Amino acid sequence: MLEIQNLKAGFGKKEILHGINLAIPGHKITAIVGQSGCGKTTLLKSMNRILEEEGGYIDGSVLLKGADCKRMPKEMLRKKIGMVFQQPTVFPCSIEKNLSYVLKYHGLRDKSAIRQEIEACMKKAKLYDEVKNHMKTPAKNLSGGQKQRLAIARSLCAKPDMLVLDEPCSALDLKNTIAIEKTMLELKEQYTLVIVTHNLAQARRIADWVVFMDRGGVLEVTKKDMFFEHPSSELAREQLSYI
Amino acid sequence: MRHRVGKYLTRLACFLLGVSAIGIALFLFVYVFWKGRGVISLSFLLDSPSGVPVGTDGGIFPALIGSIFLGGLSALMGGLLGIGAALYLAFYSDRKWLSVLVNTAILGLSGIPSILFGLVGYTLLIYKLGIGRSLLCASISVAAMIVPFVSIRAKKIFEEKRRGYMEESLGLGLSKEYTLRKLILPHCASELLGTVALGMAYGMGAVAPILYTGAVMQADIPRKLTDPFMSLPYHLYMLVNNGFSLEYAFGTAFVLMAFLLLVQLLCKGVTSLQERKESR
Repeated sequence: MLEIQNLKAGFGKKEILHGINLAIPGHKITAIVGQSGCGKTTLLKSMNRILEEEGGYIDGSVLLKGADCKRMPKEMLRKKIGMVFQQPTVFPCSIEKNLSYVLKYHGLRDKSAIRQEIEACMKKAKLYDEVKNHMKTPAKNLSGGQKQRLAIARSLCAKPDMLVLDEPCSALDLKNTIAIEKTMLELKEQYTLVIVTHNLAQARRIADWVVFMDRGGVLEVTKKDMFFEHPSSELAREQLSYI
Repeated sequence: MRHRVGKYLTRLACFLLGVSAIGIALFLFVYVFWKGRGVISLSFLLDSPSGVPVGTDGGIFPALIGSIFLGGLSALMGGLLGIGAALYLAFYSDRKWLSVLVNTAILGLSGIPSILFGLVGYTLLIYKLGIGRSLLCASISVAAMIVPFVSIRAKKIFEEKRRGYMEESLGLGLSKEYTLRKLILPHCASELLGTVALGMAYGMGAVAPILYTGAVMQADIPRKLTDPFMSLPYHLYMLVNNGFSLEYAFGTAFVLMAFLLLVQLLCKGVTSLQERKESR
């Protein structure tokens, strides 16, 4: 699905990622794990070039289904690789408008089609049943977990091929974390998911593949079971001994 | 014990400082009103100045309208430029050297004494271009003065409150322009309006930039942009500077203060309405 070749990225003279090579398989959940500051989020933000919006640079190539992401218009790329941030930001309008805002940009005009699409995306994000009776209320009144699921539903409105999620559960309690994890497990049937997490237990629960990073490089890319049972790097072994 | 004393002393100091700020504002209002109470009336607001020397009788109507025209025009020009610069700095400054340059220019402008805007306006617009002392020249000079005022505050609004929306929106594959048009600008509108109104009040209260560029002691309500005009602060300045009538000066000052307060309250009202609408 996504191939990363000799990816170097950073800010100004500070290189954070030092030549990463990686392949993300389709319709699987790939968890990027590693210590704080190892470059997980930078790698994630390089995939859809959000890093460039923050003043960063990206060298090397990222191929989405064989197409060079650097040659793609940024909006097109980000439509295909949707992003969910660590702190979900809901737009200052109703729940419904948070989603219709995205749909309208991507060309949907018919009101009933918009309503149907909103319903479908919210069902996929497992939010619809909780909020279906107050879609017109401000999205800021939702709980943290609901806001994160709204962010996921909003990303799905763009009909992405792939969803990248940057520590989506880091600010959530266990109940909401489990709800998000269930959502992700169901979504992988239709989408490719990449999740950054510092929580190895979470990676164990939901990931199919694990990318283990350290100091701007990839130490291991393996299937989940392999990683948790027979980690090849010393650092991974050490970290896994704590869980 | 020492901690508790320190805590209460800090609270008391903050309370006293807060109350003194209110006290200063109240004192100014009451003092100015008291000194000018003899002339403040409906006819003072609606009549033209008269008497010999002019301004020692009659009212301040042309000066009030001239100030409104000046404030409106300079707020329009300065507001557009200031918000535009802030938008560029907050969302489009990819080239670091250019954003540093724009930022430095704005900060530099904010430190320039207001009389210099009047002097440059006079030299460029009146002396070089030969436009003549007019509402247009004065508005341009005042607009240049309020650009940094608006820009610095607008940039803060964009950066502090709305940048998260931009990142989120870009992550959804939406364009910067769509996000600005449909999300950020509409939701910043009331705050931006408040900022421009503050800038307008700042510009309307200034004498120096209009001293040489457009304000005169007596004129009708300007019918076109190239007409000279009367303004409240200039009228006040002339009344005090020439010792014509202190009572009329205080009356004029009170109207100016009340008018600026009204503008602020209106903007506050609009902002609160928007906030209430968003939280509903």
